[in-house]
Amino acid sequence: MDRPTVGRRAVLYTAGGALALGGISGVVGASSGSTKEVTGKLRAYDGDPVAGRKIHVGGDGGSVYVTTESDGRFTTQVSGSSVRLGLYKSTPGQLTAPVRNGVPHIDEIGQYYLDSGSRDLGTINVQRGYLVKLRGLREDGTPATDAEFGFRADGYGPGRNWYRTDSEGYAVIDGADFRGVELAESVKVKIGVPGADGSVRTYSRYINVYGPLTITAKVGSGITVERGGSDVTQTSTTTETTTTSTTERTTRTTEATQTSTTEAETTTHTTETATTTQNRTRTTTSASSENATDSIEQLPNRGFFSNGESAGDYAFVTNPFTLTVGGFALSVLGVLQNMIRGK
Amino acid sequence: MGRGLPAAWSALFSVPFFLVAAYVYAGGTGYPTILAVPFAAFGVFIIAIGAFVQVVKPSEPRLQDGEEILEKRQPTQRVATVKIVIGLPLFISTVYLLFFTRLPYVYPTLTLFSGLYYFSSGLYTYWTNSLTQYYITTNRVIKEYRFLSLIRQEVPLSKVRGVQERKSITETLVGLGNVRVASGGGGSLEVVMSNMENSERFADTVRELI
Repeated sequence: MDRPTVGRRAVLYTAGGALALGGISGVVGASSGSTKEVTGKLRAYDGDPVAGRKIHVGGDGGSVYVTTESDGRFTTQVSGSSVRLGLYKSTPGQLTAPVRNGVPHIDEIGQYYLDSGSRDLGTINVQRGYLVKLRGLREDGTPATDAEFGFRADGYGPGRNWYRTDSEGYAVIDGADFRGVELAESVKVKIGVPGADGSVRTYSRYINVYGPLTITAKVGSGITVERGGSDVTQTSTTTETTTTSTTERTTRTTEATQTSTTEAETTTHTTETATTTQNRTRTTTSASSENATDSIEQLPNRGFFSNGESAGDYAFVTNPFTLTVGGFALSVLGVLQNMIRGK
Repeated sequence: MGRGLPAAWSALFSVPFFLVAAYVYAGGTGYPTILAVPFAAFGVFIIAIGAFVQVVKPSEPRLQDGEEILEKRQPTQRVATVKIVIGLPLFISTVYLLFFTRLPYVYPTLTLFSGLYYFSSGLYTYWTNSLTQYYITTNRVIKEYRFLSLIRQEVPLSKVRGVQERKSITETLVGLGNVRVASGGGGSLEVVMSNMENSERFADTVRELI
């Protein structure tokens, strides 16, 4: 039998050559270690500069943080052939800032390949971030005040100490007067909720953020994603009369006036009056109120079967990466199977 | 070496996927740049298989004493071409629906999966046809296919009990047919030769020999 030995060798040689070339180019790339200056300017979706925020600069020579100036400009020195930039909406003492202004708390700015000289990346538009509330619930639906929360966007994410959990089981950035974080596009969310037996159930999911969302992890039920209608949430400073009897059922109306401001915009964001009716079996010293007002224009969330309110359904297939990887993987497997079987 | 230029054609077929990958990577879609990876990886897969098909060839059958090859045929690539041509517009529609509209994901998903079905089906038809050879000898009807391993099917002419001609819808549209030569001794002794030009003449040649 005439076996195509030469042909297979040629393939192996070609593959080996490609690997060798890849290795050589990698060595050459790594050896181009002269320091280069990289500059750029970050601009928010509304045109404002992204000022005073940290940028994680990762390259062949390690990683550093630089802080943007008042006009959004940043300058850094890197070595190697490429640099990857990630934005952290931070304050000087806090990597996850208690600020809500439409800039995502975490965002990959991009990876840039560098020539031998310095490079000005120009003005880089940071994508719009939307408020994503994270919540943990126990099996019986009661809020898990000891739930653990995490999120990552393209590998960037804060540590474990960025939040506190409020009485309703929501994650609140330390020092923030709102629940949740601002995120954009594809983000991996992780919520750990202690169950009745004390063991922590951790749930994670990739979420596409194109509008406000509420992500709830419930022990035994997993993660649900709802389009969040309430975009402004805070603990109201309600003054109330305490009733001494714990069995007394009190119905009352609380009026709270609240003001929400954003840090980047120094102007008042919204001023509103909410009326909340509460049924209580025990007297408490705090109350929360939410309103469904969103003063920022937003696109309808893109879902699998429909956009808008039900867009959170089937969230695992609303990630274009998942869809394309699934489609291409099926194609590759089908082609290989048929070719190997000789159908 | 495989017939034609499978490496070159495969490289050409991979171009749309690399173009989309480059567009996504450049940030043209607003989606994360990692979305470029599956498109580029599929392009690399097409090129790699095309290069492999280029260097692999079906081997000539070993002939018995006094045996001669009377006819040697290869499947044509028209069916593969039709499938690829159907798949490409669906793929382009996917790119449009996914990146340039905000229609629910079900629409680009449908076009992606149907487009990939036709495109991939066309690709493997093209590659398998490049690696397939049919022979009629004075003693046997032989079909030979080699990809990673050799698959050789043959029916001795003395055992042929039936010759069947068929034309699928796609084959009818492009003027091709397939011929089944069966020994009557079960499916294992049936050789199916598909995507053949002038399949009637090939079938007649077999009939004349039995």
